[in-house]
Amino acid sequence: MKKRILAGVLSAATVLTLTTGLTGCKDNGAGHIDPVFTDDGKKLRIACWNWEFAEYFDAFYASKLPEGITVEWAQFPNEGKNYQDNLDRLLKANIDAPADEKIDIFLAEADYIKKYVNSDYSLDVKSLGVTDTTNAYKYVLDAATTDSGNVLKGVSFQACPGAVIIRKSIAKDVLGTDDPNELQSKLDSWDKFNAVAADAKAKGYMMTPSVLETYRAFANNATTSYLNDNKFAPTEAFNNWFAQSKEFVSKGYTQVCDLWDPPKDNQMLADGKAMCFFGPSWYYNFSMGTAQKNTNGDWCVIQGPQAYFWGGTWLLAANGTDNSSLVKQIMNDFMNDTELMEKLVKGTGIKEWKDGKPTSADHYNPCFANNKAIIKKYVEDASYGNSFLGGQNDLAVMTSVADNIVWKKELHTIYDQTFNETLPKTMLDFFSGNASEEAAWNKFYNELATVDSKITH
Amino acid sequence: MKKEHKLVSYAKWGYIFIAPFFIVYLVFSLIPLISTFVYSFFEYSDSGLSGATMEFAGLKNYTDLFTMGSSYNNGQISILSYAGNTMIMWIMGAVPQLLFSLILAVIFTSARLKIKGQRFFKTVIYMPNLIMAAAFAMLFWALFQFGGPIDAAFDWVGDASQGKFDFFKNIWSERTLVAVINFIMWFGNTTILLMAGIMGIDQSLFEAASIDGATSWQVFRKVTIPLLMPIMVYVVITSLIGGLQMFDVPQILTNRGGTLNGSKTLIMYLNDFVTNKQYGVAGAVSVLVFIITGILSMIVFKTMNTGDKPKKKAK
Amino acid sequence: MGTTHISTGETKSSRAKTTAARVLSYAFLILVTLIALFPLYLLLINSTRSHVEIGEKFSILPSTSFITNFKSATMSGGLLRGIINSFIISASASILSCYFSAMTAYGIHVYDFKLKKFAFTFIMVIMMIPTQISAVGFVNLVFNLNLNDTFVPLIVPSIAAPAVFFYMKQYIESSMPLEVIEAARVDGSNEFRTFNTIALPMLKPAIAVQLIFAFTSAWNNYFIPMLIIERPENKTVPMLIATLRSDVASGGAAADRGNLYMSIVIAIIPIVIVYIFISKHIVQGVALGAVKG
Repeated sequence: MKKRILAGVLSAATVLTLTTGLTGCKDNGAGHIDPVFTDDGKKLRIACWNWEFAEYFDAFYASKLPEGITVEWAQFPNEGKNYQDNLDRLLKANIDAPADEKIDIFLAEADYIKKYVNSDYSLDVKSLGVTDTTNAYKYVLDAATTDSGNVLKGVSFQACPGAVIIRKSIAKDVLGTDDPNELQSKLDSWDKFNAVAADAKAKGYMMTPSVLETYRAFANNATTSYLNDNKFAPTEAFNNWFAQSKEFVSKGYTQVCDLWDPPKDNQMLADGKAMCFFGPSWYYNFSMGTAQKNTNGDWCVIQGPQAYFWGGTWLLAANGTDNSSLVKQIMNDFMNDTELMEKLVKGTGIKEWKDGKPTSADHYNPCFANNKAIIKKYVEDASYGNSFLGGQNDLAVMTSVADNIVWKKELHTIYDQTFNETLPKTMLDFFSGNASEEAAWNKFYNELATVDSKITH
Repeated sequence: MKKEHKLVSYAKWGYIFIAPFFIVYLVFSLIPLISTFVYSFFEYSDSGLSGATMEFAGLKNYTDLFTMGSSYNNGQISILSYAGNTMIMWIMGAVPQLLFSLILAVIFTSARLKIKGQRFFKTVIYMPNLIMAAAFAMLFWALFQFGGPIDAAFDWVGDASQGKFDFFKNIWSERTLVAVINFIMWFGNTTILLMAGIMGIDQSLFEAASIDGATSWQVFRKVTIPLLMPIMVYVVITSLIGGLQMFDVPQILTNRGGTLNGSKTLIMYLNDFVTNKQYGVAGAVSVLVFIITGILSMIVFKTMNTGDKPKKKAK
Repeated sequence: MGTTHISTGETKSSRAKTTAARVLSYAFLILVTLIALFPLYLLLINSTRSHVEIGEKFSILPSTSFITNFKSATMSGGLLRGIINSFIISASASILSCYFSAMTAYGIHVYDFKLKKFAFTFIMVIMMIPTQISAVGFVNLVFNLNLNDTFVPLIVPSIAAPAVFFYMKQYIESSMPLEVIEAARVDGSNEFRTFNTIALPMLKPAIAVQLIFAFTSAWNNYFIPMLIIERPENKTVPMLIATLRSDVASGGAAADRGNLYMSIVIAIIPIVIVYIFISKHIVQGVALGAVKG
C-alpha cells in the first residue's frame, strides 16, 4: 500500500517536472494567440541581454517617464541561449502574469529576431499607434517585419551598416592615397580587393587582421539559404568567402585568428601591419579601443566591396503588455524624436562603464541612429567629423551603405547564429593547418547535430 | 522489557536522523532525475516559442547517440570520443594532483620535518579553489593565447613573426592547459583531505613503528598508506566524479571544445543538447554519463578496497 | 612526538638526511605557494589595467586603472547586492549541508535499523550522479512549484549532499567511538541532544573542512542560478560576472575587461576573508582531531 502511494506520488511529481513548455499557451484553437494590451501598468519591464540600450534609456529617457512609472530591466546574460530561453518563458506567461510582472518591451538581436517577429508573442506596432516609419532605414524595418502579411513587429533606434575601416598610413604606402573616395574606387569589388591584397603583401603588410574579417560581408549578400528542407549546404557566398580565405591564408595576406582575439587587436598598434578592418560604426566607435589609444586619426571608412550589416538591437512590444501607450511612446521616440536621435548620433565619445548602468547622463556612446533625416543633417554639416577617423564625416559613408543593405527574409532561419558565428569559427581549425578541410566540416556537422537533430547535410 | 523498548526507539531515531536528507533528495534530485530518464525515451522538440512536443521514441535517442558522428567522422562516434577526452583530461590532472597532495600532506604532518609556517602554506595552497573556474579559464586563455605573454616569452626562439606556438591550435596543448588548471584548482583541496586523514591515524601506530626501527619510507608505505585508504578512496572517487562533471574550464578555455573538439567533455556535449532544448537526446546522454560514472566509481571502489581489506580485519 | 624518543640515538648522517629533507620540503612548499598565488596575482594585476591595456599587451606589473575599474564595478551597487545575495545563499547552503550530512552520517553509523544498509548504498550510488544530469527536470520542478526567482532552490537542496555525507561518515568511522554516545545515553541525554552537544563538537574538523568546500562551491555556482534567477536584485555574483564576460566575449559596446577583472577580484575578497577565518579552524581542527584519535 505504502509503496503504491509512494509510486503514485513519484510519478505525479515526475510529470510535474516534464510538463513545462508543453502547456501554458493561450491557444484559441488554431495555434494562434490573440494580441492583448492594456494601459494600466505602473511598472515598465524591459527584457534585455546587456545594458547597451539601458544605458541610452537611463541617460536620455528615464527623466521623461510619466509620474509613478518605475522601470525594471529583466536582464539575462546571453550565454548559450540563456537569454532566449528566459525570454520565451516570460513571453509565454506574459498574458496571465500579474500586473507588475508583465514584460512590456523586449529586445532582440539580428541573429534571432526572426523567431520573435513571426510569433504571436510580439505585437503589431501599428496597432499600438507607432505609424511613422518614414525615417527608418528599410533593412531595419524589413528585419522586424513578418514573413507573411507584412506586419511590422519591432523598431530600432540604431542601424548597423558595415564599412571597411582602413589604416590610412598603410593605404598610402600600398595604394598611394589615403583619400576615402579614391580608396573606394580601388576597393569597390572583391576582385580589386583580392588584387590589392597581393600589393599589400608585397610591401610587407596584411590585407585583413583576421581570416574571419570578411565573412559577414560575404554571408550577408548570399542569394540562397544555408538550409533547404532541413538540409544544410554551404551557399555560394560562403564558398566565395572560403576560397578567398584559403588564398589569403596560404599567401599570408591575413592571419588565422578569431574576430575578438588579441592578435587582431595587436594589429591596431602603431606597428600593426593590417590594412582593412571590417565593421559597423559601433565597431570603430567602441571596439577599436586599442586603435583609439595608439593610432587615433590614422583611420578612415569606405563602403568597400559589398554592403552588409553586423549586429543591431530591436525593440519589440510584448503581447500582454500593460503599458501599451508608454511602449508606443518609447518606440516612437527612439525612432523619431529629433532631440533624442541627435543625442544618439553625436555622443560624447567618452565611454564610462558602471556595472551595467550609466550613473551620469554626461557620458554616452555615439550611435548610428536609425533616422535618415537626422543622419542627413549631419552628413551635410561641415563641422561634423569623427576624430578617430581623422575628422572624416563617416555618416556620409555609412548612410549609403545602410541604404544598400537588403534584408532577404527568406534566407534567414532560426539558426542564423550557428551559421554566422559557429560555421566560420569552425573553419579556423582548417585555416590554422591543424585539421583537414574534411575534419573541420565534420566538426561543424557534429555541432549541427546538437543544434537540431533533424538537420541533415 | 525496558531494554527491548529502548532498542525499538533507537531504530526509530535512525530513521528520524536520516529523514531530512532523504526527503530533500527525493523532492529536489530524485524526481528531476527520474524525469531525465523519462525524457531519454521521448523525442522532444521545442523551438522555444511555439511550444514543445513529446513523442515516445523507445530507444531511438540511444541508438542515435551511437551513430552520431560515425557517418562522416571516419566511423568515430562523437559521444565515445568525448568520453575519451573527459577521461584523458581527468587523468592528466588527477595523477599529478594526487602525487603533489600526498607529498604535501606528508610534509605537513611529519613530526620529523617540523615545518615552520605551516599555517601560511596550508592557507595558501587552498586559495586557487576560491577563484571561480570561469575566471581561471579566462586568465589562462589570456596567458597562453597566440601573441600573448607566454608566446612572447619564446620570442627568442627563431623568427619572432613566424613559427611560434599557438597553444589553442593543438589538441594536446589545450588538454594540458585544462589539466593544469584543474590541478592548480584542486590540489589544495586534496591536500587538506589527505592531511585530515593522516592526522586521524592513531599516533601510537607511528610511535610503535618508530620504536621497531622502521624508516620513514617504511612507515609511509606500511602505516600511512594503508590507514589512509578510506580517505584516498574518497578523494579518488570525488575527483573522478568531479572529472566526469568537467565543464566550465574546457568550455571557456577552449571555446566549447577546442581544436577538432579534442577537449570537449561529456557534460559539454550534454550542455549542447540542453542549450538547444533537445531534452530527449540530452536525457540519453545523461543516462549514459550516469552509467559510466557508476561503473568507473565501482571499479575504483573495488580496486582500492581490496588493498584495504586485510587491515580492516586486523582492526 | 614519537621521533623525539628515537632522536637521541640518531646518528649524524640521519640528522643530515633530515636537514636535507627539510630543505627539499621548503623548496617544494615555496614552489607550490608560487603556483597557488600566481593566478590570484594575475587577477589583481588585471584589475588595475584598463579594457584596452588588457587587450593589447600582457604585463606582470600593475597599471593605473584600479580606481576607474573599481568605480565601474561598484557604482551602481549591483555588485554589492550580488555579494550579499551570494553570501546569504552560500552561508545557508553550506551550514545546512554540513549539519544535515553530519546528522545523516551519524544516524547511519550509530543506529541499527532495517534500511540502514540500503540507505548507505543508496547515498553512495547517488553521490556518483553528476548534478548537471538532472538540471532540466530540476528547473522545470522549480518553476512548477513557483519557486523560481527565489533562493529556496539554491539553498534547500543542499540538505542532501551525498559527498559531504560520505566524508562525514568516513570521519565518524575513524574517529568517533560509540562508547561516548552510550555514556551520554546512560547520563540520560536524549538522542538529539547527544548529537548536537556531543557528536557535533567531535566532528568539528570535518565540518570545518566541508564548510569551506560547500561554501566555495555554492559561491561559485553559476549553472543553476542562471536558470532560475530573474530579477536584478536577486542576482548572484557569478551571474553578474557572466554578463560582463559575455559582453567581452561578444565584443561590442558593452565590453570592459577592466571592469570584469575588478568584479572578479571584488567577488573573491569576501570568500577569501571567510576562508582565512575558517582556515584557522581547519588547521586547528585537524590537529584537534589528531589528538583525539
